[in-house]
Amino acid sequence: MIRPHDETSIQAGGMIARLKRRQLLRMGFLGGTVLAVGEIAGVFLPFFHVNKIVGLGAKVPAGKKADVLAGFKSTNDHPVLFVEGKFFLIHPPGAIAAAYRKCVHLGCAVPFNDAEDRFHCPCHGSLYDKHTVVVLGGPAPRPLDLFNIEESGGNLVVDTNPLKLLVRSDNKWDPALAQVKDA
Amino acid sequence: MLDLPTQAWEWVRRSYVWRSFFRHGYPDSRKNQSLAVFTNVFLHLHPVKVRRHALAIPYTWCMGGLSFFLFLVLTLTGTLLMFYYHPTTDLAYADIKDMETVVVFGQLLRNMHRWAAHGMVITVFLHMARVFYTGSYKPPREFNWVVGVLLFFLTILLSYTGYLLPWDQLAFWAVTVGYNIAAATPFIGNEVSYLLFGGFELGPNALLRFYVLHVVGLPVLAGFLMAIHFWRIRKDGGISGPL
Repeated sequence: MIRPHDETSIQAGGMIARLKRRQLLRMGFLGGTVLAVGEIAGVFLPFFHVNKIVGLGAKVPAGKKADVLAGFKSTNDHPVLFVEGKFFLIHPPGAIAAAYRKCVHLGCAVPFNDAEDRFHCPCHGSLYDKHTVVVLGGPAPRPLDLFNIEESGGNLVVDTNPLKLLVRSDNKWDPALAQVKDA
Repeated sequence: MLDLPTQAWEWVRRSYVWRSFFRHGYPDSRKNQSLAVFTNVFLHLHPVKVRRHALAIPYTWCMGGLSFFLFLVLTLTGTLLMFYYHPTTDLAYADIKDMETVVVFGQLLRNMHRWAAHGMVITVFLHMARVFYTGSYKPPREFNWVVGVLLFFLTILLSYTGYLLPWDQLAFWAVTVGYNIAAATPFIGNEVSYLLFGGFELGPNALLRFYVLHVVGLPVLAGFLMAIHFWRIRKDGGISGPL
């Protein structure tokens, strides 16, 4: 019953019985509007959340594993730079790894220095090892961070998501980090 | 000799089209002049009567009006800049260079936009300071102060989003700082910066997002709030002076 007949039915029926038709309609319209606005607002965030990542964060194909290993052999383990993915493929003992080239000191892009045969950050002189990117000198607090790398069908794929880095606190190569073996 | 032009003028004045545009004659009495202002969509933006004290420049230093004037300059020059600017990482920087060296009057246009943007931040700040020092935020104008604060934030955001568009080193690293500030949000920092900038670093998505915000989102919002801001000035007792 929407419209109460008299005072007693109001008291007996509680809140619902007290509603007049006009109020009910108004609440219905208002509720519908709030619902619609809420739904639109609800899809706003997922809409602006980018699903297809380009650049840093994407999964970057890094070539065939056999080719990479052959390259390491012919160049005496020279690291291979991937500019778009911002990483170096390196050859630590028994593995192939991908080192994020952002200096862990203050964020400069670290180049490999051929003359010194090691990574040498031009900004503040942090030095990293050629094979394991552990710190050899300078202000860097820890080795360069590593990206996750996987092998599928003989091809290497590097996940450049900067939120899923392999961060090392001790300054040495841990064989447990070998996600892709070099054999 | 003048008969024919006079007759033609009279014919135009009596025509249906003319009379649908201009529904009454020249308003020569005070009342009709007021009515003409009230009923005209363009004239009604300005008050029918301006109090004598409102004409005293040291009361306001015209800072609000100057801010609005600069906003109009920015809208006009910005729209013209849009004809030559592509919001992509490949083309943005070159487009700005072309704007300065190839496009006719392009350098003037870009510099007008740039200096008007700097000027607007300054005049909005001075306007705010004036309102504060003259106590003009007090009731019944407190609501308009809040609208004004929102407009100040929008001015800053417009400057910030426009800053990225040249896609040069200055823009990139300045906005990278903003990225890291967003990423410093407690608990959900990475998600916030990813959502705002459309990636894990400044890239094509960030440029496009800032562009859309700069040319559509923020100006529309600012225009909406400005309409309220100006309307409230009138409703709260007019510009400057005691109530």
